[in-house]
Amino acid sequence: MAEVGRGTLVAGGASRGRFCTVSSVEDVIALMKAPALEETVIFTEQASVTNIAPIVGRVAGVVSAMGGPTSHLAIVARGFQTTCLVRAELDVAPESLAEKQVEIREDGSIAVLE
Amino acid sequence: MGEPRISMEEVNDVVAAFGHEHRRAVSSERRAALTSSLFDVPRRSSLANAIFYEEGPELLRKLQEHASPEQLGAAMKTPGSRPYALSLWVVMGMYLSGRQQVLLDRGVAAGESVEDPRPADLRTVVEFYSRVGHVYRNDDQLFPTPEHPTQPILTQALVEESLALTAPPTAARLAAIRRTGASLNLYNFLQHGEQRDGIFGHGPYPGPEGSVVWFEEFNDLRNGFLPWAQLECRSIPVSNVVFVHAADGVELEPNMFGALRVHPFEYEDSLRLVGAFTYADAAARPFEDSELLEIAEIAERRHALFFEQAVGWSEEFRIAYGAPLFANHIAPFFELAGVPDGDRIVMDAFERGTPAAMAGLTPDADVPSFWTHLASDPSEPLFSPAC
Repeated sequence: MAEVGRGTLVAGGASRGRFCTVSSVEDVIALMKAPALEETVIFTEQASVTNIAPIVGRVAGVVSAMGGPTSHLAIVARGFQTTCLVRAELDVAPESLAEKQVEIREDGSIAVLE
Repeated sequence: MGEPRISMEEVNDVVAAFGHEHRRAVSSERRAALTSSLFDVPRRSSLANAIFYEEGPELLRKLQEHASPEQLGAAMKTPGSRPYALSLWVVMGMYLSGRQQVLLDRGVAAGESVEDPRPADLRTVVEFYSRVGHVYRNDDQLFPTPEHPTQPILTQALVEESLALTAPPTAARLAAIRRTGASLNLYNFLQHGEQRDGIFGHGPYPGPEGSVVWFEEFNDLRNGFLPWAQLECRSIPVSNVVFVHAADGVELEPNMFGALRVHPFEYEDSLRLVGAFTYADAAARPFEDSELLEIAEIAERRHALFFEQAVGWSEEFRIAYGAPLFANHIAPFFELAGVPDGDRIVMDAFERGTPAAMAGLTPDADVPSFWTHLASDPSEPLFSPAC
C-alpha cells in the first residue's frame, strides 16, 4: 500500500473505497445515481458542505483539501458518522487516483490499495 | 407606536456594537468570500438588504400595531420558537447593510458620521431590535460576544421542564440524535438557500450537579412560505426538533447568527443527559429513537430534492430568490403577533421592492461594495453613525 497523502481525521474511523473527485454539482448529481455509492471515497477541493450535501451521509469517506475540526462539513460528517479527512494534502494529482481503491487511516494518512 | 424610547445617541451605540460584532463573527467564520456552487450568496443578500431598507421600517410599524416588541420578545422565549435569535439579527442586519450600501454608493467613508437620510426609520429598526432583544434574552446583552459567550433565552422553568425529558445517553440514542441532527442541518441549510437558518443553539443554562445545559434546535421544518419548499414528497411531520444536552466540563461558544460550538467538539464522553422533543402549543412531546430516524430519512430525501431543484435555477433566480428567502425571516414575527394575512403583507412588501433592488444586481456585474467593506479593516466601524 502506497501512502499518497495525509490530513486531519475529524469524523469516523478508518475507511476504504473507490476514489472519486467531485468538482461540480453535475458530479454530485451523477454520483447520486451511481451504484455502490456507499463504497466511494470522494475528494473535494472545497470545504463547503453544500457542494456534496446529498451524498455526504452515503459515501464511505470524504476527503477535503480545506476545512477544520469545527467546519460545517466536519460537523455534518460526524453526525452521519461518515469518515472525513480535512486539510488533506495529496502527493499526487487527484485525477491519477480516479477509480482506485484507497484507504483513509486512523492516523489521517491516505493510501492506495492497488 | 408612540414616542421614541431610545435616543439617537443610544441608537448609534447599538449600531456600533452590532457592527463590531457582526464583522468579528463574519471574520471568525471566514464567511466574507461567500462563494457557493449553487447560489449567488452576496447578491441575493444585497437584494434583501436593499428591499428591507426601503420596506422594513413600515413593516415593523405595521407589526407593532398588533404586538409590542416586549410582547414579541416574551413570546419567543420557548424551545423551537420561530422567530428566534437569527430572525431578530436579520431585522437589524438587513436594514443596516442596506443603509450602508446606500451610503457607500454616495461615497461616505468608513466610520464617517452622516446626516441620516431617514433618521426616524433608523430609530424604528434599532428600537425594535433593542426592545425585543432585551426581553428575549435573559442577560443584559443583545447578542453573544467573546467576552460574554452566552445565549440564554429560556426561563429556568422551561429548562427544568426540558431536562425532565432527558435520560443518560445510550449509544443508540446518541446515534439517532447525531444522524437526525446532521440530516436536519443539511435540510435547513439547503431549504434556506445556503443559509444556516432554522439551526439554533442556545445556552448555557445551569444543569444538575454543576453540569452545563445547552439546546440544539431545528425550526421551520414544515415551511409553507418559500416557493421552492413545495416539494412533492412526504413532509417532516413536526415543525421543530429540539435536542437538549447536559454535560460536564464543556464550554459553549455561541455567536450572533444563532450558531453554537461546543468545546471540546468530541464531548460525547462528558454527557450526563440527553433528550429529544418537539415543542408546540406550550407543550413538549418527546421522541422515540425510531421517530427521530424516520424524520432523518424524510429530511435526507427532501434535501436531495432541494439540491436537484437548485441546480436547475437560472443565474437570475440565484439572486432573486433572496427576496422570499429573507421575507421568510420577517413573516414569523407577523404570525406570532397574530396579524391577519401576515404572510401576504410581508411577501407583498418584498415583491414590491424587488424590481428596483434587482436593477444593479446582475450576475455579471461587480459584487456590491458592501461585501468588500465588510471584509475591510476591522478597526473601522462597519455601519456609519448618524449625526
